[in-house]
Amino acid sequence: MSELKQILLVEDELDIQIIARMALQKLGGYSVEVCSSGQEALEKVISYRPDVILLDVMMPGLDGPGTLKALRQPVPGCQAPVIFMTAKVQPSEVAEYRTLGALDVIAKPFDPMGLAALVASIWNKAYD
Amino acid sequence: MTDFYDEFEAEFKLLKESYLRRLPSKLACLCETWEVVVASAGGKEVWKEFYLQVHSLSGTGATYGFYDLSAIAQTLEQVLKPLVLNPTAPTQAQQTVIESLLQSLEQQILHLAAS
Repeated sequence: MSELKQILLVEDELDIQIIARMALQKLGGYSVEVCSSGQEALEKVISYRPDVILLDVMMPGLDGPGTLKALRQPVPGCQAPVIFMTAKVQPSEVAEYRTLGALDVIAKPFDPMGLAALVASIWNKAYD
Repeated sequence: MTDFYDEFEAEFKLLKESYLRRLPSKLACLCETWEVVVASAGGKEVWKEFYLQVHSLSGTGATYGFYDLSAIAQTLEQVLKPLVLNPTAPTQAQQTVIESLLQSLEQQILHLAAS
């Protein structure tokens, strides 16, 4: 697996978008693109080719799990690892996300100061 | 690296202040949606909209460090969860609980604005 450089953040809440993007760019040095919906993400991955996708679970329209399933379809055929971001982190819920194919889960609320390091740690644990 | 952290903290502080100023209008929106829930006798879509607004307040509040505000919103979220799954017109008892939590949110926002 290549180095982690490009992150696609899929999140409907504007405040969370701004904080997470700022944290990942400024503190992690990553390139970040933001989508406000699962549907938008399905289009964005064709041109952006992220190394990892941070995916909100609860969104209007296509939710996180639905977006993950759609990403893996032949079109767009995106195989980038997905990390769910959610407040729903009961063990049974986390197990369900992993069954769906998520690389890991980041609990909300996340610590903005620690988000970039947390993503790096998940990535390193999986691919180093 | 310290510079990046200092810069981030300064920007985060500005975002937090902006969020605090927007809280009253967020609550007003929430109350308006609640009125629609009551008026529509519990339509599925409007329950869902109300739930998503509460979920949003709970999540953003905690991310900005307003944990008491988020905790009230989270309690409201728990109250709403079964109602979103089986949407019906809210009973008088449910209305009382929900409106009491909306009042608690208002008081918390006033407290935050004053402190």
